[in-house]
Amino acid sequence: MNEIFDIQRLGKLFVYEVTNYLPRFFKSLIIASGVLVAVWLLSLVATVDIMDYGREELINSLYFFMLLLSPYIIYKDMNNRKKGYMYAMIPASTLEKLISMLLVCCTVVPAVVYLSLTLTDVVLYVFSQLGVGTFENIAFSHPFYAVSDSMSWFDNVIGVLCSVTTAMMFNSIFRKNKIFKTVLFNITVIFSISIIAILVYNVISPEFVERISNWFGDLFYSFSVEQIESMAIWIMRLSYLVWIAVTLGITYYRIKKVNY
Amino acid sequence: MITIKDLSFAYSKDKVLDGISTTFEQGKIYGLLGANGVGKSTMFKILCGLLTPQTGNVNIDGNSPLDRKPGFLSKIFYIPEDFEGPAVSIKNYANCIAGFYPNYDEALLKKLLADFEIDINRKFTTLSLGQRKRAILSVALALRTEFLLLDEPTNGLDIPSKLEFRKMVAAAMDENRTIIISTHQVKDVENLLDHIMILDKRAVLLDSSVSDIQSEYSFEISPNVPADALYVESGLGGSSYICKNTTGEESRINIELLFNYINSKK
Repeated sequence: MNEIFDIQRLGKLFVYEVTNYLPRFFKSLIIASGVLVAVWLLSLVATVDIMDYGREELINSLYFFMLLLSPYIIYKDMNNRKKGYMYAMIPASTLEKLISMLLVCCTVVPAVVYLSLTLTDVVLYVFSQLGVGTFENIAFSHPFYAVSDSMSWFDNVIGVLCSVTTAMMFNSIFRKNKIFKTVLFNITVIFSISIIAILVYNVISPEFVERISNWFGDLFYSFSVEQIESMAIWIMRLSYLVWIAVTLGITYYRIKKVNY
Repeated sequence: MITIKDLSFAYSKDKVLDGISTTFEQGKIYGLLGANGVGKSTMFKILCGLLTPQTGNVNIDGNSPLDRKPGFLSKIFYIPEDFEGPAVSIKNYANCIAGFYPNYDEALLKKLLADFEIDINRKFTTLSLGQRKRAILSVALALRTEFLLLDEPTNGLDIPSKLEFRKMVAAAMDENRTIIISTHQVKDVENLLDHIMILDKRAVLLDSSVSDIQSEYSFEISPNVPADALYVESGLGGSSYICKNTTGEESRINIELLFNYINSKK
């Protein structure tokens, strides 16, 4: 028996997780679709076309938000001291568990969220064609354009992947109040970095910071705008990929070592 | 075979297991007895690789549980005391996990569930605690794993279900299987065990086979207690007592009496 990776075992695990864990996500899907309906109703009452202009943005935001939430909902019990043993004791390797989690959160969840939100929008469109509201068309969301329309398909995919794997990591680290702790942790990190930056600039050596910025300025002047843009994209891609590797590595370690 | 060597574990500063060594052989039903909080569930979690011991090691058929390898995990099944179950039907759950366990027997599952009078299409979340326990016990027995760890399996079961539980566990036994039952309700596992281990905080008070216990002690009920009785409990129908077995005749073990006797000696 291959103890590290077996494609058939991965398949069984994937089916197990989709059957046993994914239904937890359906309530959240209903709520997300309910938000669309609520905003539509609001636009009817207010007699303002909120939905026709901001509909696509709303759908995309809900879509991205649901992707971020999915690991916290679907795998909420994975490190729970009382309930997590069931996940830990599934006869599959840590690698298979990580891949299955990634597949669920990055293929199944996007598909079901996309379907759910688009179907809701289609229903609202049909209502508008019956004379309720003023929809002109169906606002199909872009499943992989959740980050930005101005970025390429590939960059959006790794951007979304980066966000989802980060959520997977925090979900595997925190045992309780996971979403609250994730938000708190990120605020603390951003706040700390800001404080450090201010300290570096004002206390340690303003001249040093100025020298560095001048050096960067000179460096940029030696390149064309296109070259700088291209470099920035590659630096962004590289940092995304490194971050994805880091988050997956930490999640793998947590799945393997977590105590119950 | 399960081999435990010098196992110690503590929750923060509260030491639960301290230097415990023992073995669990195949083909036997073990009773892990002890009061609440002595570390029975902790030992189960360590055996399953769910907790990392401070010192010592556990070896199960050449595997270290902490590695959580698929091959090892497909040989062991653990039912905790407060099993909640997934929000799916018993049938769905069994179908999903069956693929991981090579010896799974679907016909046996159906039979066990029928004996327990539980509908296979019911969701775990719609069952009462007792029904949930009976359902997962049926699944566990049908998976036919080599090692089956049952933590307080009779908690929440009514009297007929307790009887059914004993029958099922006894029927499910074979020479390749090791079943370890942890309980503080010692009467519930009477006549079921091959080996008894009594745990106290930090120590093993008794680790002996039922036949050895029967050879060493006699368990009697009589209005007249002999002077050499080791332990006596008075009751309405006479006094229950334990004395040294001097005749060589084996008597039926009164586990509750034995448990109280061993605990009184510590």
